[in-house]
Amino acid sequence: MDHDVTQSPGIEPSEPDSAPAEEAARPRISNEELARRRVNRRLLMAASAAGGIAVTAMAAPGLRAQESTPEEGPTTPEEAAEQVATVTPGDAEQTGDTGQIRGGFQFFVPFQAAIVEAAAARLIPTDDLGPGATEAGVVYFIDRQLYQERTGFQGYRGQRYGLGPFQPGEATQGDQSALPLSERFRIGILGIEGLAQERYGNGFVRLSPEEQDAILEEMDSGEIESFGRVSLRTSPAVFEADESTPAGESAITAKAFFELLLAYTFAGFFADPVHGGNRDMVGWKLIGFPGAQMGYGDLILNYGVPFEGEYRSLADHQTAMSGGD
Amino acid sequence: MAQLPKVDVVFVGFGLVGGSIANELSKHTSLQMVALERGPFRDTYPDFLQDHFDEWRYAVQSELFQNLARNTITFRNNADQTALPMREYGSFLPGDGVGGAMVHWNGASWRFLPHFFEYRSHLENRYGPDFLPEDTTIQDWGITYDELEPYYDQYEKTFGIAGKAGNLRGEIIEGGNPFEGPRSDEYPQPPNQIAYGPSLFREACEEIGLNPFPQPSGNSPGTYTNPDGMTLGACNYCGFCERFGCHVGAKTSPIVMTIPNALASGRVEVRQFSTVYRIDHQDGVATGVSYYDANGMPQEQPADLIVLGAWTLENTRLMLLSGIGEPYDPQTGSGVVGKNYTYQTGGAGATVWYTDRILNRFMGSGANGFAIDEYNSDNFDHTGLGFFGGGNIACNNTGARPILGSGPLPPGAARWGSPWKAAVKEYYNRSVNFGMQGESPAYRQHFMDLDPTYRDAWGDPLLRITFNWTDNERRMVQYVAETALARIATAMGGQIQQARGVITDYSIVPYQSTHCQGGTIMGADPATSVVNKYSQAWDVPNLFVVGASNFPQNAGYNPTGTVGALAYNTADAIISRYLDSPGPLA
Repeated sequence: MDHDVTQSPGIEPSEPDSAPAEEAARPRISNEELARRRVNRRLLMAASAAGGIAVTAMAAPGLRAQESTPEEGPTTPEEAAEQVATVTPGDAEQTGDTGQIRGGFQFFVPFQAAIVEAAAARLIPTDDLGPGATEAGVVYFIDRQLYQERTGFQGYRGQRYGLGPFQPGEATQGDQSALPLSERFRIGILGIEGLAQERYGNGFVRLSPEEQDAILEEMDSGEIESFGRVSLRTSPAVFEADESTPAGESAITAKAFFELLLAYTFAGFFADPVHGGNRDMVGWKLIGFPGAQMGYGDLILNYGVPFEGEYRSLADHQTAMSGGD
Repeated sequence: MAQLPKVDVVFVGFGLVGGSIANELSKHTSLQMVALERGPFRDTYPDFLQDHFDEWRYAVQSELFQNLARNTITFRNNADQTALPMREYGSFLPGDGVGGAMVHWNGASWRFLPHFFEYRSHLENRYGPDFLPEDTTIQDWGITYDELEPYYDQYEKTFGIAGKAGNLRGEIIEGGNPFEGPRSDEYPQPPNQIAYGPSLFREACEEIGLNPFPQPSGNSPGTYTNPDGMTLGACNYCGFCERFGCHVGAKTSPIVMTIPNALASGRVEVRQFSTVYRIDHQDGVATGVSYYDANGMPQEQPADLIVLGAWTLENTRLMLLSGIGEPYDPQTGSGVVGKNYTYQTGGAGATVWYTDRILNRFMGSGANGFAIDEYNSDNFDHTGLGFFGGGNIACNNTGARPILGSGPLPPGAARWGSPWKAAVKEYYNRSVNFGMQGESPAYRQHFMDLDPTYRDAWGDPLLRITFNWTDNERRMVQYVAETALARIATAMGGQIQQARGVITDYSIVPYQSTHCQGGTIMGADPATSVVNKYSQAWDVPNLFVVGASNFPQNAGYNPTGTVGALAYNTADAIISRYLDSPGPLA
């Protein structure tokens, strides 16, 4: 999981992102109006990403629609906040096109969770082979890991050495960043969203599966220069592409965040369900890994004969070990 | 700082080395002993029986490994680079806790070949004085296979190693390794029941005229009681060995076979969460050790005899931090502590995928397979090949846990999305992997010293490793991949085959092998070694430094069996000779 380390903390002058043609053609609007829209956009994205009531009220698909029909969305921060407040992660029955929100989050806010869940659903899709990252609850696994990381400097491999000085090295020397895992996700999620806005003028969760794949492929390709801003001149969740919001610096590259997301998505699909993902052992069932079996004994010599036993999780094992059934 | 009451012996680290020697001393002497171990005591019950099937916690998030937040190493490929800390695992996984790295090992237990203990002499005799690369610093061990054989035997019987002899007192035995040195006795246990994938490897090897034999294994095929009355459980092939403790006490380790017996004597105390930071010494005599206790507070533990068995990296670092022995200087070649850091040369591997059968890759154990030795060390003629050395080739069904082991997928398979999902569903249970565990020669420019910049949690310098592959290993890997692995893969049939044999620069990033050697090397001459043939420090006779840190170079085998033999060699030297007349033994 390599990623680049930004050495200079200062704001480097950089060219503004090239705006999509549609964006460039729009008439200039006043700064006051721009500021008002930014506030609305930020709050509404959180609401729409939660996948519930606000989306319906706004006449999805989302932000682009909101800009062209502002009367359908809230016009003040207070109104927007009220709409957000009506969407709670615990509303198990609410379904939007980001899927169900089945439980609370420890680290993510729903805006972040929706983007991670949507991206994970492309990395391991739900398809004719069966459940994918969404059904496995990968986003809940990742959420738990990121929350736990808050108590220490922890990475994919566990406790990290966190003392300085920090400096970039050779690829053979490994990841040298001081940036905690949870902050890599915070920045990376905004990077995905910014890329979606830049390429399609729409939030990542609103894109078609093909468009989402294109975003992920672009991240995977390693060719994106600017991703996940650290230096800010506006609120981080404002994705307007104009000269007042330069791309800023990347603390984690698009490629590095892609690899991080992929590693955690796989882990959330294949780790024991006790960690919050791999629900109903769907990851194991896809490939035929039977889980926490006490052993196979003589079956090891039944060459080529499929294992017919029940899939077994750590919770099943611990129940048995603690005197339960 | 508190000075604690003096004891007879103190052990720094309590794994294979400390546990074995403490157990022998507890049986044959009345010495009072203290073991200082930086990690906790996790036992078969309740720790591993009730929890060990958790790949995320143990295998990925590093539950049983050294806590890098407190202490790591820095690394660079060569002296022109700035070494940077290994912030995250990682190429290798040092253990933490009572029992040491042997708690989370796979179980592959080898003896080194006889000629390997006199490697430089052997190669120069066979190929002439100009054969070896100019920069290699391989050397003879100062001890021979014949001298070490009784201690290999003692280690194998104590730990209940399973296998098939190939050379019994000079007679070549069918079904074993025909290249191994003469054994005084058969393995104490017969081979494991071996899984489907490795059986296909064995058939292919036989078909092309090679001599496959069962991988010598610390995974117990049945219940076994050792000479001390300690019992190993029977392995049930659950597939959770490497990176895990064993849930049924069937993977041999100090927490099963030696340490409980040592503790039963009542003369051994183990202090958990105790991190030694200095060997205290004056005028060539060690007076004790200083350590941080469970609360991080400094303590001083005086002792008459000190056994340093804290694995290669901490053995070397503690010698450097304590100022015992002359640090190695790569510019002049003088000095010895930190010299000859070696690893294990990977990179030669092969995979065969079968679409017409499933292989139950999740059933297995850490050392469940077959091996061949035709391409190891100097078992084949190196005339004109442009390199020396080789490696053991093995095929083991270690258990394919899905986070780290859902692959490998065939070349060209998608990395994500529905195409990946289709590929992993199709191929997870249909691949057989095998490869070379290559020898790692020593070179003048590969060494360990104290890092000038980075510190551990208490402010002491980290150990710095300078290491890379050389052209010798690059040619070795390519040769074995082309000559052996590709041929075996073809003979195995299957629908897709792949052999890999290219290495460039060594990287600290991907996991490769937890086999780190050197730094306190053994030899016959104090000018070129840190310890004598009994692992006794040349400069401080009441200090024994034992482990793979004693290897002048690493063989094409897992090191654990030889570390065990060295530990019993030291135990016998202390009991039979040192205690009668404390002082230099050589």
